[in-house]
Amino acid sequence: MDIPKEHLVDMYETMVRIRRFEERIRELYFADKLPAFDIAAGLIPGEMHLSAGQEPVAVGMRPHLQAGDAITATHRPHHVAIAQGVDLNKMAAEIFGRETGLGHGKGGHMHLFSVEPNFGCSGIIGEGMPVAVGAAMAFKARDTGNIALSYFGEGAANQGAFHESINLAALWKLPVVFICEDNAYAISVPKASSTAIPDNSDRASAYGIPGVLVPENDPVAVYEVMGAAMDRARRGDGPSLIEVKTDRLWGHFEGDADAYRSDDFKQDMNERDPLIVFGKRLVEEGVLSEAEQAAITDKEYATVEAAIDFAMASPYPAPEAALNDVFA
Amino acid sequence: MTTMTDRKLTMQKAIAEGIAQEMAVDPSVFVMGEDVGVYGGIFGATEGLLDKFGPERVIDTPISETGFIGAAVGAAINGMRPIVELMFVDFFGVCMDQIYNNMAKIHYFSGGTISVPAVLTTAVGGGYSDAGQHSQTLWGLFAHVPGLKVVVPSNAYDAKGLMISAIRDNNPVMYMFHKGALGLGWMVNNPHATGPVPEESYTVPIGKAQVARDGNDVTIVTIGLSVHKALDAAALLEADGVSAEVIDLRSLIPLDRETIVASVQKTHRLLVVDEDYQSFGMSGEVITTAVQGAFDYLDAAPVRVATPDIPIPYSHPLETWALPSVDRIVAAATEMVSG
Amino acid sequence: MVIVGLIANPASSKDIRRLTGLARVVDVEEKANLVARFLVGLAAAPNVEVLAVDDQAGLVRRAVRLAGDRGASVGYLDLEVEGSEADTRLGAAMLKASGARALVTIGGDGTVRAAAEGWPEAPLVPVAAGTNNAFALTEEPTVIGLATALAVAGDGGAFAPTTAIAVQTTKGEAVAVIDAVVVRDHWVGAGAIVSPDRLVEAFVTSSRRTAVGVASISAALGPLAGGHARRISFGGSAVVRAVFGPGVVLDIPVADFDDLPGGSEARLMESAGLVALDGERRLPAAGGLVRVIAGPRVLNLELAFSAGSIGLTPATGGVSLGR
Repeated sequence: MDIPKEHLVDMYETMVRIRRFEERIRELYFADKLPAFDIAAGLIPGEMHLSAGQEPVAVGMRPHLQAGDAITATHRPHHVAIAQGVDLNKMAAEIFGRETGLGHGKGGHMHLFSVEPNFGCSGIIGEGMPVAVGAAMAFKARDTGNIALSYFGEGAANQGAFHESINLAALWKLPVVFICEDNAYAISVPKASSTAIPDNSDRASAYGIPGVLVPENDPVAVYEVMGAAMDRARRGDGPSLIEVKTDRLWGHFEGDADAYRSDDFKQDMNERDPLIVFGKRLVEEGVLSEAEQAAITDKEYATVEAAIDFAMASPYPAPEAALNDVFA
Repeated sequence: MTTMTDRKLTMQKAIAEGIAQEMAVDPSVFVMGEDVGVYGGIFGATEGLLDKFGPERVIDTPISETGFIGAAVGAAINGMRPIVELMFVDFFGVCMDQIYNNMAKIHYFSGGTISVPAVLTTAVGGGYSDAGQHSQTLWGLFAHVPGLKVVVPSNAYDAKGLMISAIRDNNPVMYMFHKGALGLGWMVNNPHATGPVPEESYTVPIGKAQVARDGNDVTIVTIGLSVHKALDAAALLEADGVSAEVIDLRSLIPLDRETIVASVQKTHRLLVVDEDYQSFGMSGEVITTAVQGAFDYLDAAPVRVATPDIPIPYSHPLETWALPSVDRIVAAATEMVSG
Repeated sequence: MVIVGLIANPASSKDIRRLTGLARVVDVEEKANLVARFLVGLAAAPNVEVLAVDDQAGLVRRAVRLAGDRGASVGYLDLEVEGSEADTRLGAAMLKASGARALVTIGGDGTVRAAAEGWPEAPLVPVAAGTNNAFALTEEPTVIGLATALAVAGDGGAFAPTTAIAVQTTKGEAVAVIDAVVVRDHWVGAGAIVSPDRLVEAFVTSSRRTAVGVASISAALGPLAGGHARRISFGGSAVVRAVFGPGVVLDIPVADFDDLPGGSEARLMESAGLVALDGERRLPAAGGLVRVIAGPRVLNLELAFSAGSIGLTPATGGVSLGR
């Protein structure tokens, strides 16, 4: 497979943008909660689950997307939303609880919804999987040519919704791709303690669909596999289950002491930081010069900062607005 | 309201007719659930639809409530209008997350930008010894969580009109039909289950109660099969000189508080009949509505006739005793009026 | 006490070819079962101890539990695995140092390749659990286990020589046991070669008609003499029908080919991107040089069974291996 340069560059830019966004959210999240951590305080109240390190699983599908494709994601949604092209300003504003946010401040970081692109996420493990199945049903019934992508973690693979969703998708031969982000830990519980088998991609054969393991956190490997899986779905050949071994560089949530992962484990992860590894490869391959890479960094940092500025400058919703939008 | 007619249908056939008429004009409407296709629905709610519309629009699902109710959410977000059946409301335990955390909340979370125009149909109610896991009504539970509309028709006319309204509503609507009110040949014979139903398509507004019987001495507020019992009780009370006004709520969300309050202001007495569990539910909500809106008008403390806080028992004398009955309604109303 | 080395690869047969062809996942349970059956066959030799790489998926441990008392006894190498092919390479080297009389691999062609890199000319028993299995033995593992028991009791004559390709590039060295293929890609990505239009040039050690993959192309061009490797360049108007992968039959344009005897060296064509080793994209091709070398020695089941036998000793009534 020859990969067009613009795809490689676009994936890299998106990874830079995601990482910068997560870093800035992390800084602002803690800025006014310390010294004694008060979860409700500050610019970004509540929980925060960041995706630093998991960028490859999100950007690898990006060049294969078509307008209208539906994606459902998890409580750790930012990398997927950014990769799909959700409006960064409105996304930041929603995380900051402002009126200009995607949900006018009603949803927050775990409940980001967008019409274009077609994105939703959930704070309940596995909840988005049946929704992706339903989106695929609608696309098939309406013959739109679109597909659905369902993102979930290795912890969700033991939830009933996983099994029901894949069975339905396989039974009805729906255009959906299931993507398991295996970051080895469900909060503090390692996969070996939760799952009877070592690879969730093995579970695909229980439903009669192909399963593929991507053993490295590499955007190009994800790009190739997702391209094949998404093409297959679009052709009408049905669903598949893709498992990617990825790295959750930070804790489960911000404020997590992350004491359950050893220092060696964390050091190994940081040594294979996909943003750094991919960036180096692009320069080695002559796809980007170091100057171009620096320019990308500047550009993406500016984009992220503009989104943060937009959010900070936006008003909070009027308190009584809490009563709105229960019903259409 | 539409032209009255001599044609009578059972509530079961009225529901199926409402669905069929909407499916005929709107290709985005489809039905899915367990045994909804070939069988026509365990309670006949989807009778005849498979033959008319085929297996792509009338889908028999595996036993995967989380899967197919969640799929209804996804389909509804993406241009379809699914009618998805939860066979017995008692089964909600295996899929409640998709209903109350997902279906009900997406419109709110998205700040009103995304709608979920799904209808969740489900069979409710006891009285035929199906025991504790197949006899509940549970509307109090679903009405309690924000984001779902909840309708409970008591007669064939309303059943068809509410179904068409529910399908056309851009919100998730939980459509609960009482098994004893359907007019099924294999259930206890219920003359109230059959009534005039116009042939043309029509709607009944969601959120509007109906005064099923005018009266002056006591307001009986109720829903579902208990409407029939209240009407039978009102006939008996009439013979004893007590004039009971019967309010058929028809919807719990939105709740027609105005009609409740106006009636209590007129009669000064409130009796709530609720087949759901007594505590923490519909009867408490209706009584609070009356106390808040008509406190000065009340001549007596409101009373409720409800199923006690027990799992619904199996043996016939136990179940009959537990569920609201005509006798209990007559006794409660008589006592209120005389006391 | 005879030591038989064992390396099982939990990651084989799960790659992109599940989507691009009809290849099936061989899951960990299936592989554990293959290993367990092998261990039962091997147990026919009572003085054999298996020394295994303790893989990250616990595959060998699952197999040991499955086989129970019926299987040969298994000990583990003091090797901390990291879940990559380095485990196979290092494990093979350690098993050589331990004096193992055979090296059993469970996996695909890539697994064999990594083992051969760690222990060149190993007495190899490759049990097939991969996608193409162009190299591995596809017979029933219990039978392979029994043949291995007979083979290690003997003088090594049951292991037949093979040919391999040593590859040297500016970015590193490697060994391929079936083929080293120059492809137009520049990114390793998902590894497997799935489209034949990327092929530039191949060096192939096999022309078994039953092989799958690039070896199938070689097979279609005619027999290959022992110790030789065949260089094939792609493109042109002549077309060869080959089984490119499970469920994938393609017509491949071949420009020309020639057969190189053992010890030959050849330069890789410069125009291309990567060298794929045994079906997986691996090294940048720049500055590439290949050499035809001796490969691992592979168990020949027929030789194993004809050279050894299990006989009854009348005096004790026990079973022993003998000639």
